[in-house]
Amino acid sequence: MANPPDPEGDRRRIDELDARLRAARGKIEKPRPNNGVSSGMSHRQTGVAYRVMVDMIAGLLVGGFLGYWLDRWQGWAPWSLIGGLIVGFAAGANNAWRAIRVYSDQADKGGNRLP
Amino acid sequence: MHSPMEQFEIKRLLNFHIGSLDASFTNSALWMMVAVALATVVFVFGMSRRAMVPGRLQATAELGYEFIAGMVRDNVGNAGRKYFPFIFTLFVFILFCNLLGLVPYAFTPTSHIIVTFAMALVVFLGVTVIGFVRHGAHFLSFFVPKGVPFVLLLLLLPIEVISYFVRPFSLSIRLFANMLAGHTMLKVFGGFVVMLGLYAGWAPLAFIIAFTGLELLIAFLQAYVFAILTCLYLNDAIHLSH
Repeated sequence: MANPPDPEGDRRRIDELDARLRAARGKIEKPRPNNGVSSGMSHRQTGVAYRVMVDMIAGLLVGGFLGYWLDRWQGWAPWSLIGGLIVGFAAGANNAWRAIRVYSDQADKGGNRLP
Repeated sequence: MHSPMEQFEIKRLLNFHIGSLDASFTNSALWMMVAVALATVVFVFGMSRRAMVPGRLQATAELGYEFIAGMVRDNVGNAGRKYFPFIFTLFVFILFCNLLGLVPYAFTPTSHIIVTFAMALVVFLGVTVIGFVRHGAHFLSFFVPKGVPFVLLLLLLPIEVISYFVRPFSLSIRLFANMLAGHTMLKVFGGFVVMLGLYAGWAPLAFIIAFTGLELLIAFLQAYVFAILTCLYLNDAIHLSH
């Protein structure tokens, strides 16, 4: 190589590179949260919408199935099916409500991070 | 004319019987193995060079890693770091199954509720065990809403418990229903193309092209939703937060 060994110069260059790297990182990191919110938001909204819909249906299904099973087992037809459907609907609504609350808490904070 | 549901039929490729248990190698198992093999190839070969400036495959692998690592960090916090490999594997497996299902003549394992339900059940049982291991019997306080009078508690407790047990069902139904509906829709419109023939068949063909784009998004979105819900359930179990 044409360059003579020069430890001092090498160190200086490494320090310089470090400073430049830090400056560049600072530039990149800053706009990141904003990007995260705007591009992550639409995904999150779609995700929450899917969640809420399926949560309510699954609640009804599970409650209805439990009620039906109790009916068959204990012979309470049709009362446990009716009760199961009501409780299942409440459970589904509860899950949906929880999903919406988590989502709106995050939206209020203006970020997509949980505490 | 083929039925639009024919694509979901399970076919035995190799017959295997252990006692009375039918453990045949099916097309579903084949495509799950293809998904696992392809995912392994992408991640092992993608990361084999460990270049400072990543190539395409390495960039893809790193993007997936960063995405799930960020999701676990944001939703579970530092305590969730231990469970990252599981969530990452789950996400990649579902994503590859969903995406491979879009290849013509391929089979979509995630369009069968038994597959998605098995995965959801593993998540559900795992999260419950983690909750009990970390908090002991105190984990049961998860089912008791705070600041509620005793009379109302009698009503709310069953609702809370059933809400908890609904989780594996909603988790599995979501993935399976999306895959089933999307693929059925594609086949139905594919049938329209054949029926309408050379003159009018172009309209449903154009729709199929647009809809395949949407299906790509859904394939990704459903893998994402499965992973993020796993994270949220894990967060509930670790931090006992309502």
